Amino acid sequence: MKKPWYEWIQSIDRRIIYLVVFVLVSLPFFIPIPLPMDVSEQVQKLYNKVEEIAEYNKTAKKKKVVLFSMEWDPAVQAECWPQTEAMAEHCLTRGVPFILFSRWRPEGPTLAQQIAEKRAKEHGKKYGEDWVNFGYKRMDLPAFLAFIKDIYSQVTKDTEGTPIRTVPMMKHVESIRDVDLIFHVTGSVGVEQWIQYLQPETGVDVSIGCTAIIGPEMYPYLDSGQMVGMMEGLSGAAQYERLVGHLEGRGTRGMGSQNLAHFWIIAMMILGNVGYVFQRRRERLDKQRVEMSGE
Amino acid sequence: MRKKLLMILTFIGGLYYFVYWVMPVESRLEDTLAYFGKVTLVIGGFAFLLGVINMVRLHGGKIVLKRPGYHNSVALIVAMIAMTLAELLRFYIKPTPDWVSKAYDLLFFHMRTPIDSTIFSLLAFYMASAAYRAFRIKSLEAGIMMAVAVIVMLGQITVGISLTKWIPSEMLQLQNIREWFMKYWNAAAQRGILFGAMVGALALSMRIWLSLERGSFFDRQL
Repeated sequence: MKKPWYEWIQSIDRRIIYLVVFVLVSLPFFIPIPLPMDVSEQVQKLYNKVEEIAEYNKTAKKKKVVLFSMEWDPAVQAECWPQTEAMAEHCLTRGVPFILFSRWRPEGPTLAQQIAEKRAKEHGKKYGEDWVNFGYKRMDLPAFLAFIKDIYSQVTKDTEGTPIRTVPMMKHVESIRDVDLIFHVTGSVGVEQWIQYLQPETGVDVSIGCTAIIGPEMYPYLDSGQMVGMMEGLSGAAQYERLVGHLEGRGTRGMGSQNLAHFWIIAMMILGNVGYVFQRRRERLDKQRVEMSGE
Repeated sequence: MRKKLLMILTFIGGLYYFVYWVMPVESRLEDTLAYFGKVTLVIGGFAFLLGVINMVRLHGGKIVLKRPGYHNSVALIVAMIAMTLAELLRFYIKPTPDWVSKAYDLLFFHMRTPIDSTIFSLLAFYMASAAYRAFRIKSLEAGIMMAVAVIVMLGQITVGISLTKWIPSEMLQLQNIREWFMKYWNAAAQRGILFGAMVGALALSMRIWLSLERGSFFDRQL
């Protein structure tokens, strides 16, 4: 017997769904879709904070520094790569030195190194003067507390094996208090420890670049002012790229895929529910008919 | 005896950090912090080594006895040794020979990175299928949840935002409705969860510090 239409639209083969997802996600890489872009309050605040540091650095002898806490790995690079790239672009173009560092993800600083090298080459910036890579330094909470007290007690060499005290950029950093902003990029956790242990003692501002799935957990910190700003998911990265004028970045390019994939998911949810509502209506009518014929 | 020793060490370790937080800065306890930080790093190093030994024993046994799926264990051990060697050679031989750089790039950038990204990307396919199959408005609560989900999803993407750009009142535009949900409803729920989790963490910390926690080595006769 032929299936009624409301049953049919509830049982579309999952391979067809997968195929459409694949086509929709791939399409914008070949045919770029021009998209309008609004900048959210959190992204704007983060941008303003970096601008504030850049303005200070213009005249200051001892420059303020941004610490990139790179707690991400290849699994979440679709979102975290463009976030790191947009921030690195901003820092390099505006004369804000930065440090790459990770406590949990060995892959984070390695991937961030690629980003920084590429952006730095484009802007004629130098390793050691405009940025430095501390690499992955495994730190439990006690070691992290010691790091907050004295960076040099826990990190002695950079990824090249150079003692960090001899890296030219580090002349600006005597202690963690000389870091003016923490930019924590993650697909999971960790930013809370900067807020709990670093901020109360030093007043250093904390910000985050996170996957969209982590974003909702950050709102209490944004609301309380413990976090100055946030790049949430791919759209956060795309908004930041727009602010820094880096429109060829992965964030802007990826938004086309995300737009289409979201629409497809919403369309599938609506389709499934339309079928479900009509099926229930039909079942109710059938039941009434049986009851009436029984009487 | 070993159990008692573990309990005493745990208590002393916890006591140090407890005292550190409650004592005034003038106590100079801070001067010892870097030292204890290094101690935990060394202990952590041993934990890593234990992990490696454990894995080699487990998978090595599987390979020797040719248990079902032993080829997966071979792949794991080979990958682990190859990646470790490539990283060690890259770090310690200066200037790094070309073949070492190439081997490292092949293993990390051209194998590890795409494999990890690919596996995680599968989520997009599963999510689309799951949303279609499982998300049914069977009750009022499910209906509210779906409506909010659609608003949040549309408010996250640029095309979704432009759908309601024409509405004169900014309050009623999608991105602002999304922001309202996230800032108030979501933040309140997150705060509640955080608060509960932190109270739980405090209780658990106390239990571990005082060796009252059951499970792991606490129940076992050492």
